[in-house]
This record gives sequence, C-alpha cells and structure tokens, in this order.
Amino acid sequence: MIIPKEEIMKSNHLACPGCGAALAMRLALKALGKKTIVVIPACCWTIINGTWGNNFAGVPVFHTAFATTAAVAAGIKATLEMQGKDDITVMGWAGDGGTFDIGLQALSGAAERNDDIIYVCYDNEAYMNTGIQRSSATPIGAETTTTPSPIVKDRPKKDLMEIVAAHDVPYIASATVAYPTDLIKKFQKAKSKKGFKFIHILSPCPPGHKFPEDKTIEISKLAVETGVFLLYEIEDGKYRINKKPKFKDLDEYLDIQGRFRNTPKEQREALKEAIKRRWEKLLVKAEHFG
Amino acid sequence: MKEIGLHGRGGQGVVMAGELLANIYFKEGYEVQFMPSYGAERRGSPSNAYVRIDNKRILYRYSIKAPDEIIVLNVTLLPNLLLKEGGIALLNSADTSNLKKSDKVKFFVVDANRIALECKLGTPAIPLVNTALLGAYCKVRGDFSFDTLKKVYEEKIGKRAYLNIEAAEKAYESVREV
Amino acid sequence: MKRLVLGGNDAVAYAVKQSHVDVVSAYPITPQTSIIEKIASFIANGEMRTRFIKVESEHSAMAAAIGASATGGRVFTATSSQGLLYMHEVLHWAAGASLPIVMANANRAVAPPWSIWAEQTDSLSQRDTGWIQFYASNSQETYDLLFLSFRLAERVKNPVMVCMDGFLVTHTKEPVAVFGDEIEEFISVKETRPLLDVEKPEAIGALAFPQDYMPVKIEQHKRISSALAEFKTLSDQFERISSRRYDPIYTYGEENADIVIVAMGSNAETAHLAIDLLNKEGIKAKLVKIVMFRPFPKDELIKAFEGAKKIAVFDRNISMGKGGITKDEIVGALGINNVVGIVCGLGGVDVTENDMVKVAKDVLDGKIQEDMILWGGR
Ligand SMILES: Cc1ncc(C[n+]2csc(CCOP(=O)(O)OP(=O)(O)O)c2C)c(N)n1
Ligand code: SF4
Ligand SMILES: [Mg+2]
Repeated sequence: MIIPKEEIMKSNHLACPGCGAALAMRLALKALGKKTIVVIPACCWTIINGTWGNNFAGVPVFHTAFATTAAVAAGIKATLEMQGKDDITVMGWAGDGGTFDIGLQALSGAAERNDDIIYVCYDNEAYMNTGIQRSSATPIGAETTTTPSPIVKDRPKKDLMEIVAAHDVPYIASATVAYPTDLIKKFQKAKSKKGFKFIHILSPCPPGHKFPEDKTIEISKLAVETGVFLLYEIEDGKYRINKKPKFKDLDEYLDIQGRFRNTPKEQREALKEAIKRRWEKLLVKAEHFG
Repeated sequence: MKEIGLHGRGGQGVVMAGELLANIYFKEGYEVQFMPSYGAERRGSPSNAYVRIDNKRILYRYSIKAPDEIIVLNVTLLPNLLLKEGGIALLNSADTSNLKKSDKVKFFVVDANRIALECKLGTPAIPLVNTALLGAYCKVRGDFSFDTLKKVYEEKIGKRAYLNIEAAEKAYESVREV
Repeated sequence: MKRLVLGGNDAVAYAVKQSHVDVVSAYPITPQTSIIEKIASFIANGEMRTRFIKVESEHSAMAAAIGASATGGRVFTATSSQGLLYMHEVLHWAAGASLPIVMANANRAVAPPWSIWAEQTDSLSQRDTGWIQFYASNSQETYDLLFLSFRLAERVKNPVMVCMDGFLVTHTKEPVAVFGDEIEEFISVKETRPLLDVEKPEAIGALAFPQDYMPVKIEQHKRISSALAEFKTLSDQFERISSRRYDPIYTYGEENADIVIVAMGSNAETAHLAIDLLNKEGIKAKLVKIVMFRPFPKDELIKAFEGAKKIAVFDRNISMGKGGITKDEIVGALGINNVVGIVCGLGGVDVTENDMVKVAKDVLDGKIQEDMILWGGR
C-alpha cells in the first residue's frame, strides 16, 4: 500500500515534539480525505489543533464538552443524513479520558444505536492535557501525578475494545503510529462501512510517558512486539489478528519510559501476566469467531 | 515594589525558578508574590513566571507586562520581551556578538547552559539552567545573600540541592556585564 | 504558626490535610488540578490518612462525595468550570439531602470558546443549587475559609463551596500563616452524622407529594439561611485561635464613603489599591467585599451602604442578557437604585486599580449611570 501523499493536516500545530496523537491524526485524515468533520472534546487535541482563529486539522472541527463526543458526532451525522450529504464522514476524536472514562456513556449510547460515525480514541494512557493524571486506560504500575510512587496505578487497564465489541457494531480496530499502512487501511475500511466504527490508537506521549521525543515510533513498535498492545480487528463480529506479537522482553518496553521507573516488581509481573491472558483470550476468540 | 520576569521554554524550569526566587526574598523578610503565567504550554513553548517583591502586603491581582528586571533562560525569546526603562536583563548566553545593546537597559550574561551540564542538571537538549541563573542574579542584584539562596535550595530541592548550589556558585562567579 | 509561600490551591490542600477528612473524591481540571495532585502526594507519603476515590467524571465525583457524606464521613472535593457545571444535578442533590460536603472551586470561564482563566460565571450559575458559597481573595483566605467551611457545613447540615479565581488566586503564591496543632481544638470537632444507619433504617429522598415536598424545602431554606448567624459564631472561635476575623462581608476605606466599590474574589485585592488612590485624591471611597454570597448577606450590605451616594459593583461574571450577577443580587435584595454594574475581566482579562478608579469617579460624577462592560479592546 502507498500512503496517500496529500497532507490535510497542517504543520506548525501545537503538539509537543514527538507527539503520537498528532501523527495519528495526520495519518487518519490521509485515509479519510477532506470530506470529514471532526468532533474534539477536551483533550490534548484541543490545544494541538490551535488556539482561537486556528484549525490545524484542515477539516471542519467542532470543539465540544468533555463527555459529549459520540453524541455530538451522532447529531452531526443525523443532520447530514437529512440533508442527503452521504459522502461526508463524521469522526469523533477523543483521548482515553474522554473515551474510557467521562465519555463512556455517550460512546455506549452511540454504539448501541449504531450511529454512522467513526469514533477514534487516541490513547496516551493518562490525562495529559491537565498534566498527567491517571485514567482507566493507564496501565498497572504506571506513575502519574494522581498515582505518585509508592502508590502507583494498582489496577489493570480497562479493555475497551471488548467493551465496544459487546455492543455488536460493524467495525472495531486497534492501531498504532509505528504501523502507518495498517492504520490507514483500518480508517479506509471504517470509512467504507455504515454504522458505528471504533478505532483504538495507542499514541505514545514523550512528556507523559517520560521518554525522549525521538523514541515515539520505537515505543509504539515495542508495544506491539511485546504484546502490550494487540493489533486486531473485529469486523461484523469476526476477529482478525493483524500482527502476532513477538513477545519481546517486556522490560525493554518499560525501561525506556520514566513512568515505569518506580513500578514494583509484583506489578511488572502482573503486567506480564495480563499480557499473556489477553493474548490467550484473543487467540480463542480469533479461532472461534474468526 | 520590584517586579521580576522569568522567561524560558517549557522544560527549563522557569516556574520553579520563580518559586525559588520568591522564597529567597521571603526568607530575607520581604513580602512576595509569585505568579506563573499559564497558557497552552507544551514542551518547548515559551513559559513565563513573575515575582513581585515589596515591603508591604502585595495586592496586585493582574499580570505583569513590563517588569523591572528580567531573567531570560532562553535568549531566543528576547525579541518578544518587555522591560521597564532603566531595567536589568540577565541572559543565559555564551555569546554576546548578536546582542543589540541599548543605553536604556543593562545587560548581564552568564553561560548557564554550560554550567548546568557541568553540574549534571538536565540533558544536553534541555539543560536545567534555572538554579544557576538565580546564582548569577544574586551577584547582579546583591539584594539577597547567597547564603539565603543556599538555604532555600536545600529546603526546596532536597537530595540534589548540592548540584544546584554548585551551579549557582559557578554562575555567581562568572556572570558579567555586557 | 509559621508562614509559608503558598498558592490558593496549595493552601486548600494543606487545610484539607489538617482537617481529618475521611474521603476525597475528585476529578482533575485546570486550574484545580494541583489541589488533588497535592492531596494524592500527601496520601502517598503517608502524611494524610484519607480514602481518595479517583472517579471517572465530576458527576461521579459529587455522587461519590454524596454517598460518603450520607454515611457520616467528612468529605472534600474540588473542581472548576466545566466540571462544576457537569455536577449541576448532583449539587442540588447534596444540598437537598443536607450533606455537609466541602468543595473548592477554581473559578474559570465557561466554554465555548475554551478558556482556562478566571471568571466567576461557573459558580454563580450554581447560585440556586442550595450550596453555601464563599469567595476567597487570596491564599490566606482560602486556607482559613476551608477550616471554617468544614465546621459550618456540619453545623448547619449544608454543603459549602469555597470559590477562588483561577490562577489569580489558585496559583498566585504568597505568604500564608499556616497552623500547627493550635487548629486541632477547632477542626477536630466533627458534627457529621450518618443518615444511613442499619440500626435506624430510613429511606432518604423518597418521592414526596406536594404537601410533603414543600415543607422539606422550607426547612432547607431555613437551614442554609441560618448559616449567616452560625458563621459568626464559628468565626468568633476561629478568631480566638488565629487572630484573623472573617465576616460575610469585609470593608476597607472611609467609613462614611460617597462612593462604594463592591468586588468579590481577586478583584477585591486590587480594589484596595483603588480605594487608596481615591482617598488620596480626597474622594471618600470604600471597598465592600462579598465573602459569603450564599446565604446572601443582605443586612450587612444595607449597613455597609448607609450614606453612600453611589455604588459601583465590579463583576467578573455575566448573566447573558442581564449583566453582572452580584450587582443584580444587590439590587434585588436591597431595592436600591444608586447602583451601577460593571462587567469586567471575563476569561481572565486584567482588571487594574486604575480601571477601577476611573470608573468609580465617573459613576460618582454621574457620567456613568447605566450598567456597562469594561473592555478597553485587545
Ligand atoms: C467536564 C470536564 N471535566 C474536566 C475537564 C478538564 N480536562 C480537560 S482535558 C482533560 C484530560 C483529557 O484526557 P484525555 O481524554 O486522556 O486526553 P489527553 O489530554 O490525554 O490527550 C481533563 C480532565 C473538562 N474540560 N471538562
Ligand atoms: S502531552 Fe503528549 S499527547 Fe499531549 S500534545 Fe504533548 S506529546 Fe501529544
Ligand atoms: Mg489521554
């Protein structure tokens, strides 16, 4: 596959250097094209897209209240449908806080109604815009300002893919920035399908995860290779694994991120255990519902 | 009353420098007010903090536009900074060849990047120059004692205070007027 | 008592640490965040024995606080702007159920457009939720009012909100006198009570037909109204410990002033400077600062305005289609017609003593007779 050349997102946006979330949007818009309307709740992207008078996304953006992404997107789509404008894609673009936490209710509502939108969660595994507080997407063992050492996050990351899967929607996929063609293909597929589509993007964040800004792609890749983040799709109920993890040593992934500096041994073990269990479950699902 | 502006980029420790400076003057018996300015800050974007110092309670609750003195952690910001006439500008800089001198402002320079790295503060990409610059400021202004600075660093910084004190000492010794 | 250089948020966190709080339930939002981060670190360091529920939204922050308080805990939360608005439904619930929850609110402008800077429209639009509201002007006041709030909330069985302007109070650091053990005798008195008690099973908040509902609401109105008197009693006790006095309103300047400047929150600090300038020019001026906004200190204001020719009310807030909210409250409560409302400082715009002096003079001279919006352009 060739990555579309056209750049819709503009340069000089306000993300930090090495921001995975900025790269994710750039790739997503390459796949979706200019006929896209984006809904952005409170999150880093509120800032990345520029302050008053700016719009670095390069497509129409509606900034909205934190908990409302999926519902506002559904409303936009409803009017487009009434106007007969079937060729416009509506995309909700929220962080993990806006998706796993405060926006989960609206997300569930739109998924259950099968509203014809693409809902994207760019997941940087904490509330970054407010300065790195834990979310329910923060992995076990990670340090944030609300889970300071020695009481680091003590519960596993919520499995959102499977929560959305429980709504029986046409398309669900995970992606991350180190695999741009995979990511773009998934957006193209999502665009081609009617109904509720959900894409979960792991987005490394240098200041939030505490790693040098040139390591974003490496970390994104390690997340997949270690099995921390599984690349798979659920299309019309059918599971497909896109990349089998190599199960590289997890420590390699943890040790280059300052947020795991104070992770106690038991929690490292718990993480390893969780990776194994999720993978085993996914294998069973792929086998029986593939 | 005296108003001091601290200007740098995210990651250089501007906010911490302001807070340390406020605490130093407070320890010297002044009334102080520390006002960080908050915006859409990201790593690398401009970051400002302000300190007001007076002999009586400080009641101003609005931002400072043109301080009496500025401490500039990153000289690329200099063209956008305001300063009162007759003011003092302390710059983190090794090279003064590009500096446009003015008879309305007194310039002082210190190579805080080098000093910070010598003292293992920050990374080569972003040296943590805040504590060194306050050492230089102490010399330039002379209205608080270096001893007070040391005490405040010890109280506020903890384990790595000695490195910051060392950086401040080096900057104190090497700051010069341009 | 020692003095530390603290911002309003730090002061709140210190006060919470010293107040034997059982449960904190909160959600981050700028510029409140450093309060809950500090509390999280106090708990992590073992400096504070408190259960911190890290909820997934503000609606749940308040809901969890309600549950904890109904079970007899001393409960704290904090929020700001969008978060406060998101709590709106449950704010009514907390007050209606007579729960002594204490909340700090960082006053921040309401979106859209997004803004993180100071404005009081967020908390003033919670005016009718039944919460007692304080507005602090500086770090010392936030610190002190927090102790008073826990006691007052429990004494009158009503939740209390302590508001402070975002950044201008929350993040502006200045010397604060911090208590040692001397605050213990005041703050260790807990008058919390469990509504949920297995020995005395009761249903809280069941459907009430009209004849049952109205008396409950009359009772609630009496309860919050009693806070004015109870606040004075608790203030007396607090003053004995701290030598600092808090009243529903605070005044500064000429006793028999011709022109009164009314302000609330951070504007009231700067207003001191305006009063000094006016008095220096021979204009008899005084500041009236509203510290307690709910219940509304009507009698205190009547007294403070006695003899004034003109009253200029500076509001860092706006009721769209009407104007400044405290101005409206004053006119509504006192029925006076020598008041001019000035809406200013929305979304964190600076308001200086020179702005205030100029407007106050024009109001006194009759050059400004209508309510206005103070806006000098970019
Ligand atoms: C109702 C409400 N509560 C809280 C906030 C404050 N807030 C803004 S962004 C944010 C965190 C966003 O986290 P996430 O969704 O993970 O996006 P990120 O910033 O990490 O990209 C919070 C808590 C808000 N704007 N509105
Ligand atoms: S904090 Fe992280 S997610 Fe936010 S803009 Fe910076 S790098 Fe991107
Ligand atoms: Mg996030």
